[in-house]
Amino acid sequence: MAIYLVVFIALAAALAYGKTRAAPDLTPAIEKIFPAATTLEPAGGIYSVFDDAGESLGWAASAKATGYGGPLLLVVGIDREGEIAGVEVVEHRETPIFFRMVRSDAYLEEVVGSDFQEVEYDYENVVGVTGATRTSDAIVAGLRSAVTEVAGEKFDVRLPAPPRSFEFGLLEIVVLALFTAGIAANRAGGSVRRWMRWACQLTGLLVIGFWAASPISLAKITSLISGYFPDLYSNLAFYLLIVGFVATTLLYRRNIYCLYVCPFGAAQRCVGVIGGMNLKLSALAGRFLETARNVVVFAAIFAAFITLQPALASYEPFAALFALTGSTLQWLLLFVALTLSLVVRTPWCSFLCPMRSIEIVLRNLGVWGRGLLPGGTERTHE
Amino acid sequence: MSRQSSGADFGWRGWLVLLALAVANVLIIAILYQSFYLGE
Repeated sequence: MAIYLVVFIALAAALAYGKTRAAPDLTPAIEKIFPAATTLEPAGGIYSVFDDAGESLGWAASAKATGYGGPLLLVVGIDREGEIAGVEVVEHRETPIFFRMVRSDAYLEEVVGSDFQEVEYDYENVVGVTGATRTSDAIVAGLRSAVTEVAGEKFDVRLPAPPRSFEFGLLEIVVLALFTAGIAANRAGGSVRRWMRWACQLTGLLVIGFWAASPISLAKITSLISGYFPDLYSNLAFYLLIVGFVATTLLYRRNIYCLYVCPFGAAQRCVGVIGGMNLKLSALAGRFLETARNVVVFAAIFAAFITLQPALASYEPFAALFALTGSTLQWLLLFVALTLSLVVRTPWCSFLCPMRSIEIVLRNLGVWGRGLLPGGTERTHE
Repeated sequence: MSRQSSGADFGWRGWLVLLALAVANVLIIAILYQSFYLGE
């Protein structure tokens, strides 16, 4: 328990340090949107922008939205005619490669120069960038909220309220079904369990992996712990996955996510079938590798907290496989992990995946928590 | 979780696997380094 205390204090200190950093200056972004601007007059969150002759150029407002790796702060400028003069992202915690993709997406180009009343602000009607939907959703949400502010104050126009319905579709149904089936299979045991596990994992591989490209990643967990909660309405599947992972590990004491749901685990098992080998490492080597993994996970979370950039903690090669995007190093890592899967069973899960480290922490916390319950001893499975 | 050694298995192939896992760890550290220092 002592090591947990040290780890907890170190991470809490890193997070506290990250949170103390000052708010960014919006002036450069506003000057970029209105190059002729010389005077800015802030009032109630809206900046009135004037040129050197004192003529009003328009207004600018900032807005925050939660993206993939945390908050995203953007500034929107609207000119006197009601046309959107520009959209500048002042601060973001997105994975750089995805952020660049969203920045160069046609949507933002179309928005600039359009009348603010004619812009499409609904997530569903905006074609998100594949693999970066949360980044593009955040930009749309931020844009909408900044425009709403200026529209109401300066043009006396009320934009229609954003759609507030849960996005409950195939992905959410599959996630719920996989956790239910996983728990059922785990109880069944024997060959039923074996077949159900294959069925669940292949479904997860196709739907959560190749179709939705949204397995749980360290960045998402770090983002949640940092207090950046992505919009519940448009990220229901993500919350279901996280709650399923934590709840089954903590309460049911079987990590149903890793065993039955995770698409990358499934991918490794498929490769393993092709290889048909099950090379075992020595216990000492296993322990050494697990310690190395825990240290790397700790370092990644620690650094992400200090810089408050959760997205940068992500090193899993998930996006390379499922969204076909990644840096050269991520592609190499994917290659090594899948090649190793030919000779060792699920090598990523056993020796490299941060989820395993988090699972171990959760398990130990569960055991510790149950020890505190009246009765004091471990309860068996219900 | 920890893998049991069974002598015969852990020969040169075992060492190769260990080497590959070490390479994977180095790649992970390089990816983290890259994203923290060259990310923006």
